[in-house]
Amino acid sequence: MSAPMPAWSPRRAWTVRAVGIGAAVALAATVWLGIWVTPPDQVQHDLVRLVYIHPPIAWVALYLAFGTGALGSVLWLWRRTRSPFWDRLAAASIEVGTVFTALTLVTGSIWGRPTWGVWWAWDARLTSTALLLVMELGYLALRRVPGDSDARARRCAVAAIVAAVDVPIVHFSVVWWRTLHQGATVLNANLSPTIHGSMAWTLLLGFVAMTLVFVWMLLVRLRIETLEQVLEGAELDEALHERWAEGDSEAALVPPVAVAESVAER
Amino acid sequence: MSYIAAGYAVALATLGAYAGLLLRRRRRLEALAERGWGESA
Repeated sequence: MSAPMPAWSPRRAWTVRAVGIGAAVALAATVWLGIWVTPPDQVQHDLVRLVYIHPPIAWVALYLAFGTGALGSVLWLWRRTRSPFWDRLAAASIEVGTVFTALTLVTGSIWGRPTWGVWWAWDARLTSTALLLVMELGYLALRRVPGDSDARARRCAVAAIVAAVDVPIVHFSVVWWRTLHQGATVLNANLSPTIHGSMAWTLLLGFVAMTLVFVWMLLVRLRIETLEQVLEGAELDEALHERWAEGDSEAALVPPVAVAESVAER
Repeated sequence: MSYIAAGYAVALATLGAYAGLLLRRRRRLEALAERGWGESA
């Protein structure tokens, strides 16, 4: 039993490889500039070096990954744009986003320990981000619930949209409540970054690097999702053929008289 | 400095491990597809 393999053109394969190489180079440059080149901060001293990776990871987790996941879910739910591609995109994006959300919490905690004196605080920003991680894990669990692919796509899309309500809460938590977490450095109300010089450029490079890492991971994960769905279909096809073959051979073995008797008994 | 090293190490190790996992899964599925989905995943 064979099913057509969804093609990945040489051009697309080359694009994915180029994005991957770009992501690795940008990430290496961020680490080099962040640890060895940029000066220590006047207030945070060397701890500012964690700022070159923590906000870029959070940017991917909250806005890019969850934004793509929510958009894919809305486009799947909307009848005019409904296509299995949007469901696959949402699933791939939320899985990658879950890794970034977990990293946001871990890198934030490593920065928080020497800065605040605690690994964790039930602060509005931290708690709403932890809630997002729980909802992302719930989404991934929901995808594994067996059932019809349309029903699975529908319930997952609804779950993603419900979870997306938490994203603006995470973003504005530092404005709406008095939190330990500092306010926005770049995406603040005046859109005037409060960081300058080589520190600002390194932070910007960190955002570019993590965005490229996300795009590369999303493209590879999307490919996996597509292959898995084709495999699922091929396995279902094979199982149906086996059942039909069994049905035919059983029917051939039962003598017509026995069939007639069994019908008469009912 | 140990917190900075820990932060960078955790981030890079996690992203590297997840990237490796994705590549392994993709290669396994592509190999399966080339064989015509003949064997079980």
